[in-house]
Amino acid sequence: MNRPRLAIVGHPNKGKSSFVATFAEDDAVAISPHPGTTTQARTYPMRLDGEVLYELIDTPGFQRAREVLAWLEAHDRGAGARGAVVAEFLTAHANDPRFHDECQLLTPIVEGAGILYIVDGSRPYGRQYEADMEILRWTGRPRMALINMISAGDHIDQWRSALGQYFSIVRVFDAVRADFGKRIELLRAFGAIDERWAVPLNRAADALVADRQRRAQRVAGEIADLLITALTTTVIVPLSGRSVDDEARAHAEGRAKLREEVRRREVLSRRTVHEIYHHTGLEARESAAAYLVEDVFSARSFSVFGMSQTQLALTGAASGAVVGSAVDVALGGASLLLGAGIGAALGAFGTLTGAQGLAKVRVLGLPLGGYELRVGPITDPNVPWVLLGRALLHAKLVAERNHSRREELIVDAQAGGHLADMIDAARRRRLDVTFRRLRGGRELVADEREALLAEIATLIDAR
Amino acid sequence: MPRDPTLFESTIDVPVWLEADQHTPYAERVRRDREIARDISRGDRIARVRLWWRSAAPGAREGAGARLQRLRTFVTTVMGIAGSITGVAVALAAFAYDGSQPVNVVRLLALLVGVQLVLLVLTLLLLPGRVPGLRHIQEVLTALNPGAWAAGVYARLSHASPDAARLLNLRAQRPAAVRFAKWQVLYWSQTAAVMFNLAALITAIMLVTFSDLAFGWSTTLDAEPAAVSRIVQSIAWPWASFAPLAVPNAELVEQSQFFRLERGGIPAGSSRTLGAWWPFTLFALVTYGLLPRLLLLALAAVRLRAATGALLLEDSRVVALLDRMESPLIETAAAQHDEQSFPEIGLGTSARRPMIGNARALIWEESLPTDAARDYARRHLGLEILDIVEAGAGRLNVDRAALDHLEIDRSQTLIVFTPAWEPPLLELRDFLAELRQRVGPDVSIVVAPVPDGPRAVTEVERAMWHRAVAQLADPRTYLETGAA
Repeated sequence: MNRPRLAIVGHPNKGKSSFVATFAEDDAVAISPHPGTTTQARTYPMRLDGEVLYELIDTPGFQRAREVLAWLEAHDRGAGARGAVVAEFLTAHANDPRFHDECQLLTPIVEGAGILYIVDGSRPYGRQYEADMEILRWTGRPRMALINMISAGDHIDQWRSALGQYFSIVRVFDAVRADFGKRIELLRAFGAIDERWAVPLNRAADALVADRQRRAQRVAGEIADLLITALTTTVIVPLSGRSVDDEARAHAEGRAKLREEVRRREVLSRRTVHEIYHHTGLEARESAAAYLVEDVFSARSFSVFGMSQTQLALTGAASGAVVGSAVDVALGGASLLLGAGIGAALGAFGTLTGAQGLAKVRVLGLPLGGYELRVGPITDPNVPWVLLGRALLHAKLVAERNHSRREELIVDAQAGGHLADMIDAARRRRLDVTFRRLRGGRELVADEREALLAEIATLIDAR
Repeated sequence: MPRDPTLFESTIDVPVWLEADQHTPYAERVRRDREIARDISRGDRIARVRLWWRSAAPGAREGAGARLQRLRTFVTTVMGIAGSITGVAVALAAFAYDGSQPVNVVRLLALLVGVQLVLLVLTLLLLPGRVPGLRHIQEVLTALNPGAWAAGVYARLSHASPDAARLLNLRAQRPAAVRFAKWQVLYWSQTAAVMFNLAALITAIMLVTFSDLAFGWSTTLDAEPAAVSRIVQSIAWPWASFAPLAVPNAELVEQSQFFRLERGGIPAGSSRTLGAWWPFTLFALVTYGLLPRLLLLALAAVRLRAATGALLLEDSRVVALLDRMESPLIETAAAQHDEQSFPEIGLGTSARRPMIGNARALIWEESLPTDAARDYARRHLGLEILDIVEAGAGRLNVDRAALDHLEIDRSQTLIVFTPAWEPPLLELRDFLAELRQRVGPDVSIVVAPVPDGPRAVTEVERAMWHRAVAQLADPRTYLETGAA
């Protein structure tokens, strides 16, 4: 089987788990400054529809490398048997707690995994690493060295020169800050470790690139839906009376409800974006935007069975006209359609006056109708731009964030506020038309939503 | 075995279920939906969503969709019954015949064909959606529909979710919902109309069969029998070729004209002849009453189904579902993870001791040059180094030689310089344990992590080394980082 398997090995605390967390997009990987965080070899298979294309194996670091090397040298039977001697070491120390970590890291290699040796290029090289590298050379497995950059120092040249003695391929890779493109580039480069791996690794890389584009589309859809919801949401507050105070109270209550609804939807949207990029444990802090629902449309209305006064009047008039027409027919047309006319007028009047009483009737504890205040949608023309700007900024930060980072994500709520000034005029106009349509209370048909989604996807790409 | 939910039920219940499903972790949703999709053979998108629904939520069947479906069925039945009763009543009135005067074919056609054609035109006004100038007429026609009333009352009293409640709202903001409501209302009205015509037709056939009817035509208008005959020929044109007996000829038209003033006005001997109108009236009822309504009902049924499907597919939650179903599933995470558990160890547990005097030193892993070690000890630890050995970086025999050397003098404090940036490995712990064994319990061993260059030891490094020294559980081995 030619499935690429790569054991990530090295000294403790050199970024092995960070590398795996970034590559596997798994923020549940245990990462800490304390050596010995990783205690077991752990496999991270990359599956495409269930088919494993490659496996990364996170391993504990070397703890007693010089002792292991001494044992190997003591049992050396020549270069051709060195791989076998390493396997014998594992057999001999399978239950020895002193070499638990070494057994964990060497077992997948002896079983056929390639080697990815990780060092910290921001700290100086030391001879103590030579025992690690010598043991890895003894295994005879294909291997690559990665110089990780954990902090600010730069000892890359020193490391390159030392690693070059043991590894034919040496690359620099910042596990915490590398962007998606660099990850894919490195994934394809793993194909150079063993030429048989090139095909599945390229396939995996292509699948990941396509998946990345789909994620951007999903995020665009999520942002589009957030905008649609925020701009069309209305809340209905029952009016206890018809005084100015009653209306002001209901208006304040409606705005609070509307604000809460928009906030809830925004939080949900942010969470979905985190999930799309597999940042399920990510804590994000975002300053609130309380001004969002200051400018809202509000209207008082009366309804029975959810029908407005106009609808009620029309219905009553039509019903009256039908009854009146029957009278006209009975009179053989002698009434000259007077019956229909009078019936319509009486029907409309009767329905409207009767509706006041009907509204107070309670069925199963619910009033059939009454006066209510509809608050929303939000009318402030800046709101969609602010929401869009914030959402794009958040999406960008989440998309670029590696899974080895553990600090909180901070999004400046005001940072996206100037989006409207930053995009080209034609796109701004198109988006503005859509926003106005939504504010006008009309939902978008599928094609219009797709167009909005495409505009947002373009903005995501551009940022 | 539970029955499959209808398309309408799925259209109501799937989005509601997906809304609640947003609390399921995204990765879990992606995996679940893709796995279900792999077991579904290719089909149209609606069929795929419905098959997915059957697999994803086999227990979630009795939702708002089933309740609204029952309401639809109920309303459809009521409309059918109402149409039938009206059809029977109108037919009885139109074919009313007591023998004094014949049934007036003009009035009969006006009632059973003319009125229906007018209503048909009004119904057709609803088809193109909102037409400028006709909006109010359309609203009246819509508001008169009892199905819309029933749906409004139901939505208010049945505690249906807002999503479900607004489906039968003809004034909904969602275009797909408006389309659905329009075709639903048309479906109901055409159900009533078809039943009206069927009932009228059956009633007419019964009257023709079980009683004797005489037909004539009468009008105040100045109509010549020849002109009326031409009109009758035109009306009968659709069936003239295959049912010539149902086309009244000119002679019949001329013979059957009557005037009420003449108290019958038709010779009694011509009763058999006058009965010959009945095939014409029945064919007219079928052709201009029943068939257009059947066609409209079929159109409404087809369009309603399409609108229901569009309602499902245009829902953004369903769009996202299809996206999850149709995209390859990529998984990269591990099935299990290490437990990250490090007991807290206070950094201030070993107080810094004032040190004055001499010491011997060991440089571990080439943490600093020899001269720098002497300087570092003098400046940061207040100790003068007498001699220095190295270990940790070369072969193990170098470590053993260092231990042998340090074992000789057991009176001096021992400083072990270590690289602050490197993690303390177990082999250092082994070395310190053996060192303690060699020098005895009274010698102080100072572990001194040193930085790589002109910087102080960081808090992270200090915590890491503090933890390592604390794990030795040796009261005379302690940490000195040189920090102020």
